[in-house]
This record gives sequence, structure tokens and C-alpha cells, in this order.
Amino acid sequence: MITGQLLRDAIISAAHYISGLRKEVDAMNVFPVPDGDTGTNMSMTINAAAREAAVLPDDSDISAVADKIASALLRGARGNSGVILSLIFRGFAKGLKGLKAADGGNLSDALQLGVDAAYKAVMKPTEGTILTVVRLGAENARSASAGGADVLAVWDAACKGAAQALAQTPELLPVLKKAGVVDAGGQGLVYIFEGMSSVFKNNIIFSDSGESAEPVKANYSAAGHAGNESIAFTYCTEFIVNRADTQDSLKLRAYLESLGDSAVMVDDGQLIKVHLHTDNPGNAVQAALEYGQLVNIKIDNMRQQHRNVSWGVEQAETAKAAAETEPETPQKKFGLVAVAAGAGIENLFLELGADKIVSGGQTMNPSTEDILNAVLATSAEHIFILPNNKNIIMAAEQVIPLSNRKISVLHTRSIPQGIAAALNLDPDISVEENHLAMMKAAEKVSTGLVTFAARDSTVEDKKVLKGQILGMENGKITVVESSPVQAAYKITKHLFKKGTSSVITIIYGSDASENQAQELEKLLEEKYGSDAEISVINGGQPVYSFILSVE
Amino acid sequence: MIRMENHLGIIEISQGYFSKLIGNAVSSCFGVAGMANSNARQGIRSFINKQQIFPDQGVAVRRDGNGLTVDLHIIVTYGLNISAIVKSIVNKVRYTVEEATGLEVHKVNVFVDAMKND
Repeated sequence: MITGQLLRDAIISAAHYISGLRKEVDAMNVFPVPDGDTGTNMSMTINAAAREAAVLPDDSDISAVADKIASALLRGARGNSGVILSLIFRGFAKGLKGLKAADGGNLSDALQLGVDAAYKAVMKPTEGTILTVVRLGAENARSASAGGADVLAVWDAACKGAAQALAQTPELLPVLKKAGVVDAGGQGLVYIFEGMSSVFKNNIIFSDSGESAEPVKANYSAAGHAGNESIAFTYCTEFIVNRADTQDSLKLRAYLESLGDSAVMVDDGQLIKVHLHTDNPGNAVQAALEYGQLVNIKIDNMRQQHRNVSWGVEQAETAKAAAETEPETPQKKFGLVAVAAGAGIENLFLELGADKIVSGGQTMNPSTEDILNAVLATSAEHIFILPNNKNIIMAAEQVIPLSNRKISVLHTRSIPQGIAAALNLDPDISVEENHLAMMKAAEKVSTGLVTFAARDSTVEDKKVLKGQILGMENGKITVVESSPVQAAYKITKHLFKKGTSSVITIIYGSDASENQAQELEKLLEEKYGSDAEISVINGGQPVYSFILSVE
Repeated sequence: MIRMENHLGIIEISQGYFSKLIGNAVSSCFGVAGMANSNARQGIRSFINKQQIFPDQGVAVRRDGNGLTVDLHIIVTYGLNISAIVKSIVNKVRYTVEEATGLEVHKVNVFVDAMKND
């Protein structure tokens, strides 16, 4: 027979047991939302019940104990798994109502009622979760009790059925199989059953420190190992966030709570003050960076009570360093960072309103870090990056996750496209509208490039000798010439479409002389003078003698 | 209802898609014993078609700036910690929508309209 005292001790034991294994269960959590908090939720839920049950006298009826546990679970329920647990125990308590002690039959009936209560609460029960685990556990218990087993054997059957069902969960829920785990909630329930078993069978309560009186599975002692009984997490982390925007801090709070305990977060709209005990202070700092700059970062190792331990501080320091390069408050709505090479082109972008120029281009691709530094030094609410070369687009996009600023990377593949995009930045319209307008403008521009062959090669069945002049239209080599002016002239002829094109821009580089540029201008003037506006810019860019833009 | 335009073309996602996506996500949430009709039109619809199950029952989705606001009308059973299940419903809806469409869910309002008998 299971008495009230036994049930009380069993819940306390289960609470201690799952607390030690909380992390392991958290790590399995992929369904319904992979937020890694199932173990924490279940352990907090059942600990709430254990605390209330602990004050009950030894001679309580099982009915009274079960009632107390069920109501404490209901109030303390956290997360999905916690709610399901509370419903299982609600049904369980209903089954034990009026009993002084429970035998095998009572136990299996009570479990079945728990299953019914849990299933009734959901419209479309998802199999392969804690629901399946408890259902099969109860079924196994019922067949054991029908076979006349005693109360311990019935409970044992419930545990076994649950464990077997748990092993099957990946077959029932594909998302579990993909992640290579069993269901986290189901695992939590199996641990709770095991924790209770220890009391029913041997009258041994798992101790709070995670050290058990009886030998248990190896992974348990590893997970449950704790140097200091009262300290669950190593680092006390505190910092203040200077809010850069007004995004809802609820997300941050939820995330912080999932990282550890004693989470306190106060948000007054301008500052967020955070206090947290966690094993991963870096994650907390990283998450908070999305809300603005951090100040007064303090991370203490609570176990050793001295500072400067391990990587947590390092992380905080890099965060601080990053924060220092940031401007105080954003000054304007849009910022523009352009990648360009050549004094003339750099100046041109600055005149067009670029805040920072990252030096680089075809032969010298800037690193992500170069772009990131330029972005961090730009004070604006939203920053557009113009990579102006297809090989730099990727590096520019990597800046987005590395920075806490709002960034859009425009896929400009050439300098003329970048210029067209920069011309179309309108400070009075939204980010999305700007992105679209700038991209549309960039797409309309045809780009011609004139350079020389760096080595002998074959281009589209044509032999190209080293030093010959190559002309490219929108990235494809189409012209092989001996004179850069002739090459530029031919390309322009190809790109210029009568009726739609109206602007020709010639940007001549350091390899071309002003005379050559004027010669080219004259040639084009003769041909298109009446249809198009022709302008000449000294770009000073390396590699390309001429960059031609036709729109 | 949601129209996004980028340089490659236009993406349009209908109201019906969102209602059904969210309806399916919500009805598989633990604690949701049923969905209640969220407006008169839905009420009349389920009065006429008593047998049919509508996946968008009890779901209303509105555009809110660049994101969405979702209203849910649910039915629960007795003996449930409502604040805990609502938290998990909100998380699930956010996660589902953001995973499927990349759109941000600004608000999820959950209305507990009724209780199912034990």
C-alpha cells in the first residue's frame, strides 16, 4: 500500500531528482518550440509541489496529499510540460479521492484518470510527446494490476511502460528523429516516475544536492554534480542596457529566464537593468546587445567568489570594446556605407551622401571586419551597405549578424550601380521603400568596364594576349581591343539603347589619361550627342581604365 | 493581405493562409480544448455547417506595421493554469509564423471564451 507519507516523500524525491537532471532535459527540447526550457519548467513546477507537500504531517491520507500536490502543481505550472504534469496529477488526485492509502488497482485507475484529464485538455493531441509517454505508462500499469500485481509491481509497470514509450517517441514525431533526441517532456516525466520509484521501493529520497543514496545511471551523477549545494548557476551577471530603440524587452526577459535563475529585469523605456544567475553570461550579454549599448557589466563567479574567471569576462570585454566604437545616439535616419576604390570615386560617393567609404574593389576585397568597423562608426538608425562588387556582397552580408545595428545590404555589383542606388536614397520614405527604389535604380544601369588582360587566355573562342585591352558588359567579356578608347567606345555602342538610354557616364581610372577620356567623350558625343547626356569623371580607380555607366 | 516586394518580384500571402496556419498551430497546443467563433460570420458559418471543422475558427489576423497581430479565441478545460498555457500558445504561434513566413508577430491576444465540461 502507498500511504500519504510515501506519496509525499516520493514527490519530494522526484523534485530533487529532476532538478539535478534539468539541464539534460533542457538540451533535448525541440518541440513544440525549440527554446530549451522543458527541464527547467518541469523541475520548477514539481518543486513548487514538493515545497507545499513537505509541510504535511506523516499520518496524512493519500487523498489529502494528492490533493495538495495537484493544487500546488496547478498554481506553479510553468510551460507546456508543467501544465501537462499538473493535469496528470489533477486526474491522479481525483482517482485517489477519499482513500487513506492506495493499492495497485487504485494506482492504475488514478493514473488512467490523469491521462484522461491531460488528453481532454487538448483538441489535437500530438503523439510522441509526454502525452504518449504517460498514456502507455498508465496502460502498462493497468494490465499489471489486472493481472493481480501488488502496488509496487504496478508502479514498476507504469515506469517501464513510460520508458518504453519514451524510446518510441522519435518514431512518432519526426522533428525528434531529425534532432536525434527523445521527447524532452516525456523524458522529464520518466525521471519524475523514477524519482518516485526510489521512495516507493526503497523508501529513499533523492537528496537535494543531486547525490543519490542509491546508485543510479552514470549520466545522472554527471549531470547532477554540483560543487555547492545552494548555488545552481556559476555566474552572477549584471549589466545595464542603454536602449537604442523601443523594441519590446519581453523577448529578452523570456530568454534571460531560460538561461538561469534569479533573473530580474527592469525596463523603464530608456534603460534595462538586468540581474541574472547563469552558466552562460556570454549568451545573456549577446542577447542584450540587440537592445542597445551595455554599461556597468559585472560578472562574478559565485562559486569561487572572485572575478576575471573564464570566458564570461572575456565576452563582456569584447562587448564593451564593441560598445565603445559606437556613437552615442543615432543622428539621422539613414546611413550609407559604400565600398569603392580610387580617390575620385570615393569623393563621388561622399558627395552623394555616403557616410563612410570602405576602400576596396576588384583586386582588393575588403574584409567583413573592415565593413563592420565602417558600419559601427556610422551614426544612423538604419545603414545601407553598397558593396559595389559581386565578390564583396557576401562579406557585406556577414556584417548583419555581427552588428547590433539595423543594416540592409544592397546587391550592387558595380560602381555605376552603387552610384545609381546612392542617388535614390530618400530620407523621407521607409527603409523598405528605399531598399526597393535603390535596387530598382541600380538594376536599370548597364555597366561597361575596360581593363587589360593580366595573362594569355581564351575568351569565347578568341585568343587574348597578355596586355590586350578587354571590354566587359555587365560582367561578361565581349570586346578584345588594342586601345582602351576603342574598347570603351564599342562597349558603349552595345550598351546604349536608342530611345531608353539617355545618360552616359565615363569614369576614367589611373591607367587612363585625361586625353584618352576626352577622346572617348568626343567619339561618343559625335554618335549620341543628340540623344544622351555625357559626363566625364576622374575616378582614379585602379585596374579599370574606364568604367562606363549607361542608363 | 501581406504584400512584400523585393527586386526579384512580389510576394503575397493571403489572410486565409495565415488564419489556417495559426489555427492549426493553436489547435495542437496543449490546453486548447477547442476554438470559439471569433466573430458573427464564423458563428453563422458553424451554425449552418455544424459538422464541419474550420481550421481558421477563432483566429483573426491583422496586419500591424511590418508584422502581424493575432487574436485567438480558445476554449479550455477545467483545472488548467491559464497563464502558463497562454504563454506557451503565444510562443508557439510566434515560432510557427516566424518560421514559415519570416514575418514578425507583434502581438498575440488570447481570449479564453469558454470552458469545456469535464
